[in-house]
Amino acid sequence: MRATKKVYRSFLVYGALGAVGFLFLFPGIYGVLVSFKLNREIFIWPPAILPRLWSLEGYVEILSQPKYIRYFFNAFLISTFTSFVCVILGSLGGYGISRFRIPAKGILMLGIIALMMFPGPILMIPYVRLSKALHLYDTYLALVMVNSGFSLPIAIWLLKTFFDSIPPAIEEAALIDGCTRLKALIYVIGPLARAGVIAIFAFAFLRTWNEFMFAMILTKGPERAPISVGLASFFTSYNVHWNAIMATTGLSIIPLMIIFIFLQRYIISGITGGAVK
Amino acid sequence: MSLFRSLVRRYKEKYDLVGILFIGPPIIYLFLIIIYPLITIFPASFQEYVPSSQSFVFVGLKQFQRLFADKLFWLSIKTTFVFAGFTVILHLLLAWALALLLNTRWWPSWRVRNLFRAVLLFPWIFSPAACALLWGILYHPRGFLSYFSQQLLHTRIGFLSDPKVALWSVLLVNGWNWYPFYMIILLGGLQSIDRSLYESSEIDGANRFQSFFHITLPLMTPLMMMIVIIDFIGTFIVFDLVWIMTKGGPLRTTYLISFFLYEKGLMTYKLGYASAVSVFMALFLSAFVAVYLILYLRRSKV
Repeated sequence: MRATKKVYRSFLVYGALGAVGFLFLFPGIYGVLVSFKLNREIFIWPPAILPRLWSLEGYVEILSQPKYIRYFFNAFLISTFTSFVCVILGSLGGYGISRFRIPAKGILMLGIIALMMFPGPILMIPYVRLSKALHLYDTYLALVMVNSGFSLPIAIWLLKTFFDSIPPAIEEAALIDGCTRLKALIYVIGPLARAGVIAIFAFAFLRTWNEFMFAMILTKGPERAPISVGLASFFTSYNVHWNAIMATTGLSIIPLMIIFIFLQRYIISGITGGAVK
Repeated sequence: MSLFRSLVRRYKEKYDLVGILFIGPPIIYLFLIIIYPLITIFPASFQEYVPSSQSFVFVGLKQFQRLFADKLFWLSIKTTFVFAGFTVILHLLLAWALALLLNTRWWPSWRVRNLFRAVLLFPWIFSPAACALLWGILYHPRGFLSYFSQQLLHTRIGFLSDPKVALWSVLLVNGWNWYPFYMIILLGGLQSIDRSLYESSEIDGANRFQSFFHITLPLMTPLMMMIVIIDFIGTFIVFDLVWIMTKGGPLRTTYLISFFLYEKGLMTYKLGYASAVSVFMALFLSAFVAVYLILYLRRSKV
């Protein structure tokens, strides 16, 4: 009797959890299902959740256009380089703050926290003007610079907290053996702060991949624009079908899903390890 | 030259010279990419751009006078306040409910809990562009939510076309996209509360509600205020999601301050005027940043 009550209760609990989870994921699930629908059955009335006939029509429509492949390639390139810049400069800054006596360190740290919350859009005009003046308009470099600039404060901060947790005695041994500070950072401390480095890489990649506004104002077409701009262009275009739109949306999530599934722990530490903690 | 040397010596006594080599590159980088462009908007806001000669003329405070007399500016400010305020409330409600759910002790196992946490975290990885599209098909006149509204309310709601509804439709999407971020922060805060506090209050005969209002809430208030500030700043300047979904329409009911900035600066090239908007936003939001820093200093001292 007691056992059946327990089974009944856990059934209820799992049922409730499943329902809540389904509700929160529904837009994503429905998007994936639409991507497998035939174009003619997307807007049937009343709407159906499952495709009647599973098809790859949408995927074929998108993948047959080199323009969209290019959007993905651009996003991948910009995000990867941004992540590298954040890891390199973030390690230098985090290590510098964590280990050395530096003038005005308190103010510097407050400044970095303030920059984490920096309202990016107020710089849209200077960015467009400067990028045109420096011939950086519509280049990968401009987007890498802007995106890494906005992710760098978090990178410095998070890596500083990681370095703080590593006892200085560890690199002192290496320094006595004739290692320079930089080499100690790269070969001794860096690997020990691996979790922080991975978190920053994942965090910067995710942010840059998803970033839209700077990508829109600093590029002029599919040549250099990342996939976020490609996706946004769908919203008002009437010549692309919704199954193809959902197919592209789904494909644009895949890299982030891989990062999310494997590096979830690091991303969570990246969120909670920011300025609020 | 000797003055320089003595300065270096005095510096060496107090600080590490190598430290500068480490923090130098990232600081210069941040200066070039964020601080310098930020500085340029201030002089630009006192000038007027003349497109015919591509030059700037000094006009004093005229841009600000025009800005404060601009009805469209005040409309966008009002809309932005409504949008940011209610987004913060929605985020807090969702984040609190779900963080408390994840923090309860009745989870069958850690594995189930972590799986559920991953499910709830998932909407956060969608880009604003992807969110706009995923919800765009749900809000479509022939989509799911229209169907439901017809069945339940006997009227088809134009989620993105009805001026009374559009802002709330977009707000819901923004809530869905960003609640996981705040949920994770609140969950981290809840987990850092000392368990023994609850145990001793239980012994004293406090029920769950009492221990929530007398232990959890007071301890979480500083963290919650920091979340409110981060969220308010982030939503106040939001551009991407709303721009993709509505472009400010219908009838400018979703016209935010960032659209005003974009329209003046990059569509009609009133560079001085738009710089004044940027300056206004920078000064207004820096007050929030200052409060945040004070809260941060207080929190890290405790």
